[in-house]
Amino acid sequence: MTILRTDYFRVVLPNYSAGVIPCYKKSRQFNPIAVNSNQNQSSVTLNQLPKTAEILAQIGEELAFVSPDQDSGLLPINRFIMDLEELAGSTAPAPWAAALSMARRWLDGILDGTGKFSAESIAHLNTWHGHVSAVLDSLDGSTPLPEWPAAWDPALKPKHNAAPSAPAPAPAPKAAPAAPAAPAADEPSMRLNLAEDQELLREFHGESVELLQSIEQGLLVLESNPSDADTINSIFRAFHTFKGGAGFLHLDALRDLAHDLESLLEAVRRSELRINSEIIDLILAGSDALKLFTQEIGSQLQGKNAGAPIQIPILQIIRRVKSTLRGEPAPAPAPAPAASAPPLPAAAPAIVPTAAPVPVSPQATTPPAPKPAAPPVAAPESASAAPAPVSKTPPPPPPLPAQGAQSEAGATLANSFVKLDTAKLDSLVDLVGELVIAQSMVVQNPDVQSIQSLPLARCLRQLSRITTELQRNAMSLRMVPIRAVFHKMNRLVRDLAAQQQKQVQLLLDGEDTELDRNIVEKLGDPLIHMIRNAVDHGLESSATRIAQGKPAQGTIRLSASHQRGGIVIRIQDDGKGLDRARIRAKAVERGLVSPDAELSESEIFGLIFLPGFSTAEKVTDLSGRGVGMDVVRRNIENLRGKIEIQSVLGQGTTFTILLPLTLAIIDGLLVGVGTDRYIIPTLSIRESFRPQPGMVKTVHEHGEVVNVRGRQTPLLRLGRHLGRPSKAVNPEDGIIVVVESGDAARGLLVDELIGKQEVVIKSLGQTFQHQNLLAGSAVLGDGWVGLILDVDTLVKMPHPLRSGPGIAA
Amino acid sequence: MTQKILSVDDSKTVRRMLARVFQPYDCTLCEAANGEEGLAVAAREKPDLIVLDYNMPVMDGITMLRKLREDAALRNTPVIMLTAETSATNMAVAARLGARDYITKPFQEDRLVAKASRVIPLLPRLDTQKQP
Repeated sequence: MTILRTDYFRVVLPNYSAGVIPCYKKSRQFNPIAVNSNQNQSSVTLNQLPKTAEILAQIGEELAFVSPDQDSGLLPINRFIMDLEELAGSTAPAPWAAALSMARRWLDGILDGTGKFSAESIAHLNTWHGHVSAVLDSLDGSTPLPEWPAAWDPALKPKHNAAPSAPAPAPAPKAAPAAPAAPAADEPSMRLNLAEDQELLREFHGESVELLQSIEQGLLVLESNPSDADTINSIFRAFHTFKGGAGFLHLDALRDLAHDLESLLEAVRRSELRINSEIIDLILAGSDALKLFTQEIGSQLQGKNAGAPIQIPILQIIRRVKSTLRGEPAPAPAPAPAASAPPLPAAAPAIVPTAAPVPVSPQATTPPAPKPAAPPVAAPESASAAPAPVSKTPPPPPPLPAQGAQSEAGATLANSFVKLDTAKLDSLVDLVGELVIAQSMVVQNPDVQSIQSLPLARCLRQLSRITTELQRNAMSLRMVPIRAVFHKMNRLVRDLAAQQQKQVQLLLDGEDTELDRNIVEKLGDPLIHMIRNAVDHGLESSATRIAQGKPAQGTIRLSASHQRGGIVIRIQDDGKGLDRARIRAKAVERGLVSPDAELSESEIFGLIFLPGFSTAEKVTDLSGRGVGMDVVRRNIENLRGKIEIQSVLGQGTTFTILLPLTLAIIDGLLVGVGTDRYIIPTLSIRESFRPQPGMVKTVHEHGEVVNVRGRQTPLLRLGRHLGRPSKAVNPEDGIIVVVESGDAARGLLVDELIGKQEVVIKSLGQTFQHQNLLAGSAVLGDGWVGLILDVDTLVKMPHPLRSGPGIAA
Repeated sequence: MTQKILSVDDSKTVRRMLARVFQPYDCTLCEAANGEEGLAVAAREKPDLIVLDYNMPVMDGITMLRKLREDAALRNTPVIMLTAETSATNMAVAARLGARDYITKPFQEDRLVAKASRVIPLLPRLDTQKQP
């Protein structure tokens, strides 16, 4: 039980506009509240805060499912509010009790009336839920108490008699109600959830800056070459990614804008629209608006105006996009109805009006704990901004004392870390790898070995020890647990489930598995895509599930583990599974395969990775546009990983992602062919053996095959294939290494196995760019260079023999 | 954890039907034919959920609900009301007495399970669960 003192309600901010409803929160952090025992004011208590928060979260869940003219959810919500009333008792803080009585009034209205929700009552309850969530947050003193919404009955408004230090509303608030009525009030406004989403916002900000750059660069290309399909695709993808991130963070205005711009480019992509200067202007205006948002997010992350609502004029852009999409002539860029409506691109720099805080009497922000840093910093700022007539923005709340304290804490935290360009880290790891090789070259050098000197031997041993230790350390710098990425998915699943009205549980396993941070970073997007797909398309609605004898709640299992010298990540759902016939039909319809193609199961599943493939009937906010799985596969392949699908119709789908532990070093099998050395990544080797006479047969018109455990596997003489001399003329003289990719396999005939080795991958550079059989090169322990084979390409090479499941699977 | 559901209904058919609806899930069912019996069984069995009929002889559902709310040990047991027809008044009365949800007869089985599963965890019965 937590005792709260009236003290904490002194932070009354007369001008807090309840703009954006905070998203439903499931888990709340309860900071222990310092109670000054010397104060003996009458105390108000709110019993069982965690229980209250839990009920509030349940109400949030129920609210997500209600719809107008339905009564579903009414009784549950009513009961939860009864529970809250009971918990609050008679000693609840005034703002809490007032909010509860407001809810009670609406619920009674519904119960005594039609007994069904209406659009209006749903809106009321949603606002209410946002309001009480904020009130609850404010009860521990870390955030200010939200203002009583203007639309609510003022008679119920709590009187802040317990907070004498809060001054009566100054003239400023009087002017406030008029402000939102100004034209800009129509513009959607967003508020960042800095307390909960800081990490995510930071990532989103970084990503957005990159995306905007690529959009701008793309637009430059389009101006000179309007039909460049690659560029159109890349801009489309950039908006798509932007939309995904914004939707994820509940930045609805941003998401809507990105969505519309994406639709515009989708129309261009489908050749329904042709790029002209008008469209380029429109995209430019849109990306400028996105940029303003991004900049504002960036400055709020740095603590400037933290928590202030962000409002950028976008409605006009959205209108223009929509009319362009309808094929109407785009309205004039600035049909300003009034002088105050911001003209679009030209005025761009001037329209971040929210940056200017409306002056607030400094006394109003007396912080509960002596944390004097924040208000003095904010005061001069607001003073200087005061003369500016910013009538078109709703007044943002004054800087929040607690957030000032938070960013301070953030600063000290940051001091114990060094933020490092990952490129520098990569080059360090790379160099250390070289050092290890150089060291072994020195130690193994025949001249050095011939020196009979004990001190030298000791020095060399010392050198080995240090380099080994150094290598381990350098590697560990980049190893991070996958937990952070996994935990992001919790929220995603919860949001998606609420949106789709499905019941979904996400089970996580192996969150402690460590892998290269470069991989972890790039894994986020593909995972988000796949989890979305699983919830959107994989799992059925509860009713369908029950009808099929499955539990109402769908399960998605996300696991990571070390396996086969790498990392295996599995995304498993117990949904409807992939429908082979449907995928095939769709692929034929889209012209991706010919109608009479013979396809194995895995080849059919593989079709979903083709660009432009999507079986979803409707375009949702989050998935179903046909970008997605091709991007997923490309991302995974860029990480030198591979992705496999297993699916049973009606029982679910499992995506298995195999990834190397790190990008810099590869665990390889060193083989010799003639005088050449090749490295085959261990991850793709199934087995290797010396063939017995008779194992290799030539099948008429199908080339050589080798019998591996009863399976006829196509044989590839590596030397002959690469046009290099080899010693083994008969297969029995050499070694066969069976490599696999997907469910296809090849036997590679090599002269000898030299050994297993970890090598540092080097790029081959421009010279070898035209060929794709080699993935890179590496300097070997003896100073020679080995070439790393690209097994996927080798296996997929056209071969006379079809690698159907009956023969080579 | 196995959930215990009490169905209180004067119709044996409805009780049998409820047993069938919840059969696939990890739960046990107990029954009562009227409110009075229902209170006794509830006190003895401490169910996790009560599915309660509105109209019953001897003691109707509303009276039983009221008595449940007066009983310190049982007042927080969630109750889903079964009503014969949609009536806003019936629903309002049940709501004010703290009914957790309600459903009208004849009901779709999956709707009842959906509502129940929002109140108690309904997991598939272990013996029928397929191992992945």
